[in-house]
Amino acid sequence: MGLTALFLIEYFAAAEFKAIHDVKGELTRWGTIVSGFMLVFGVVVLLRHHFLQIAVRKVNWKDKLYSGVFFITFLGFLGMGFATPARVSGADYQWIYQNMYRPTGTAITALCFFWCIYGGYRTFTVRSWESAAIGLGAVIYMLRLLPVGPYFIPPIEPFGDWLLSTINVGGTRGGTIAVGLGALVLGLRTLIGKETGMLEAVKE
Amino acid sequence: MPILEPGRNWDLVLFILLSVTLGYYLWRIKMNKPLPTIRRIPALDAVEDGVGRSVETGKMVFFEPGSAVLSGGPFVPMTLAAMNILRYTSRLCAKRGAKFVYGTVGTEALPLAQGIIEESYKAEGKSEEYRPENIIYFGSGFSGNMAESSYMVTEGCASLVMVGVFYTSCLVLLGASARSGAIAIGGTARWIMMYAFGIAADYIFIMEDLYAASALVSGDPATTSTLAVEDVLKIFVLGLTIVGIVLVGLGFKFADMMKL
Repeated sequence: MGLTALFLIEYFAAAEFKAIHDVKGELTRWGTIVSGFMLVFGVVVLLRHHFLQIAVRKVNWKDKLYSGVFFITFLGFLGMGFATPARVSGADYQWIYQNMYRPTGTAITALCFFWCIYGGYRTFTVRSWESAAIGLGAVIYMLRLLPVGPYFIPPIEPFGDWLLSTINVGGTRGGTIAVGLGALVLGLRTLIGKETGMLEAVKE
Repeated sequence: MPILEPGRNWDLVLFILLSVTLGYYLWRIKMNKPLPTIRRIPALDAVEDGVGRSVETGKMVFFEPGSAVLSGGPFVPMTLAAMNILRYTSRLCAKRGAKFVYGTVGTEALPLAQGIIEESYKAEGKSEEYRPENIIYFGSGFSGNMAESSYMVTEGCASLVMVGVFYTSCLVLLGASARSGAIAIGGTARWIMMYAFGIAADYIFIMEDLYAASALVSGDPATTSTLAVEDVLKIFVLGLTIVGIVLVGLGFKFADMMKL
């Protein structure tokens, strides 16, 4: 709580109060150091877990295989990154990134987008006023984007633009302000120790 | 010598208003004075129905908190709110004996979620029913969502609860829930993704509903009364907007006036 109060004071304090800004800067730097250390710690824990899966634990061959592939790939990438003089911007590392990692990532992303459309297609039914409004807005705006839409229905173009620039912006701003206030209240609740939801089970 | 950083005076006004209003409601609780009535959120009631459905069908309740960011930025409050709803859902599952699975594509909140779920089972006196293997990290990003959807369809799912930080790929999960015949309950405070829940979920938490639900599940009057603080602030912002409209209409440069 003391730290949060300090961060709050620092946010409002003028630049002339150098000491407060320096303390905040130092604390932030320590935050970065701790995060960096945790990253290294995470790598060690992950490698240990997969090593135990491969060598010690009695798990099925599939799990051993997955752990083995991860272990070898990770160490390979790590070794390549450190061994080449230019590290991650070096040609060898970049070759692996561009020819192995990127195509796989792109394929999965592309597949996922098909699934997103499929998901939307399967599930979109007008079951509430909200979904009816979304559906109507989507139809109008899609018609506005299609070349044939404005050709056959000329008013659809200004109407679509009006929907986007007026209705959409108004709704978005209202929603964003409400969400911002919600987050602010949650933050203050945490600050004064009233955000006990996560700790309730411990209390009992 | 200036005391305040220039340009942050309005922030301070809002912060003071927030603190005073919060203090006022906490004082009301202390004095046992009546508190504002808070409406129920249908999506929150649906979580209870979803757990009941899971008990009847023997299929799981699948909880997905999205990217679950805790390291900083605007997504932290969303993740904290999701964690509160996680506690509520997992505790309901423990109480009624429903199979509970926590699936995620974000690692940051994983230890926190693990602790919450374990404590929920302990709180219900059912520690022996806690299954750490039902807390699953599916991998990051899109590939993780694909794996989750595959898991939901193959294992069978009675109810899907999705609250937290979501991107486009949430549609994959919502599609999978429809395919496995599950009730989809979800929402996010990210306005850009509300369309996905609007079209594909059975019950939705519309933006700030997420924070309201997070306070409501605590069952603590001090926590729930803070929702009234939000409303006071909304009225203040609304008032300021109306004043701005009037002043701009009268020819004043309201935007410049606000630059304190």
